[in-house]
Amino acid sequence: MDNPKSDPTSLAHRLAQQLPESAQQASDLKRRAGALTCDWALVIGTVPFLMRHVDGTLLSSTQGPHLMRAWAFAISAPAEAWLAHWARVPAPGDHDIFALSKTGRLTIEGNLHPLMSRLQVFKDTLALPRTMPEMQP
Amino acid sequence: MTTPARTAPPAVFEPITARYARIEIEGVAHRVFIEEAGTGIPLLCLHTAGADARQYRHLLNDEAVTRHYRVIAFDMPWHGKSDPPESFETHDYELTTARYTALILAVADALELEAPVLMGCSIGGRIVLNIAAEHASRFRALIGLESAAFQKPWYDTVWLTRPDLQGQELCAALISGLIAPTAPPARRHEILWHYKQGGPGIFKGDLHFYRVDGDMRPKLAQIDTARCPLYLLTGVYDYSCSPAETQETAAAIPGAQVTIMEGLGHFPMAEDPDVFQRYLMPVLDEIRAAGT
Repeated sequence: MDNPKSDPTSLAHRLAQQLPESAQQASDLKRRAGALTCDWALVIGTVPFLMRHVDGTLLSSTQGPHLMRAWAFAISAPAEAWLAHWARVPAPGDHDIFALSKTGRLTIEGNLHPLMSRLQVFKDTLALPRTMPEMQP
Repeated sequence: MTTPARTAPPAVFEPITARYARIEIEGVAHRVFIEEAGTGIPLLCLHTAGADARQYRHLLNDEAVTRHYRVIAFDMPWHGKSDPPESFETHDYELTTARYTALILAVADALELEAPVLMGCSIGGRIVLNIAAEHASRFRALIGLESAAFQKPWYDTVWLTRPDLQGQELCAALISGLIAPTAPPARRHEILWHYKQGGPGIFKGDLHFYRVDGDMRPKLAQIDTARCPLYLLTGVYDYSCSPAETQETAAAIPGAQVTIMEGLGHFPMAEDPDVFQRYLMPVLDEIRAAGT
């Protein structure tokens, strides 16, 4: 279990932590995000990663547990489902957050308005790990 | 006097004829935008909800298809370049099984199509089942793309027309996941652009047929594929109309032929035309070989 590549949970956590850096390198994401400012949570299993979007930039990803912190909405799935979503070429059914949600492997809860206001930005941000070195063959 | 240098090479025109037709639908005058190419068996194409006939531009440009088929794709009223009828401002757009069926029959009649093939995608794939049940004698063959008699919804349509959201951006983002991740980016973004151009409330109005008024399960027993062949083709990445939902529908229709398409999602003709062509051609060849 020391090798993070062999442990799905550790790997998923690492990828979630790298999201801000990856998002900041994708210049079109910031352009499309506009003035998006929102705290939201990417939950892997039971561990929340607090994501902070400020003026269109994903500034930080902070691993929980968090004490008395609030977020607008949370997108939650087991590590295995996230890793399937983050496969370089995801399989049918793993390729979209709503596909995962339709089959009950992912839940979206909270105030969904910020999510729906920039849905493509959130979807594209959540798909970024597909291009990270850890997910390459 | 010197001839000024050209600022661009000569235009390359596609082999598509695009015209406006005055067509009466359920007694109401409509102006319908129609694109067509090719000669031979009429192949009438129906676009997906909230989009328009540009989704079929690759098929209209495909010489392998247009060599034997007169491909005709029209924008449904309220979509693309087909305006709503007069007085549209007094009510919301809402597609029903009856209205959709009347529209298809009116277009086929107005164009004087003889024994056409009807091919529809998504809501178009759904209405093909109604045509199969109630108007099969009018058609040579029926092709349902991403077609099922009923599908489990996966989001609440109230989001589509909220005053505090940009509805068309949201429509595009919602359907984006139905495109195969292997689709060329240019094709993906073309599909999304078409959705961003839809009129306000139109996608939702189409989904009224899909979700509220268009459950075809009670009608499947009426379908006689011996009278009119029925082909159902569904992409593996389509989770709105999943392969399992298409197969469930086909299981209730003796003689229905199912093809599950690898590398494609909910918009096969638009998202990866070359891959789709490999699945469609055997169907078109079989229909042509069967004659009338």
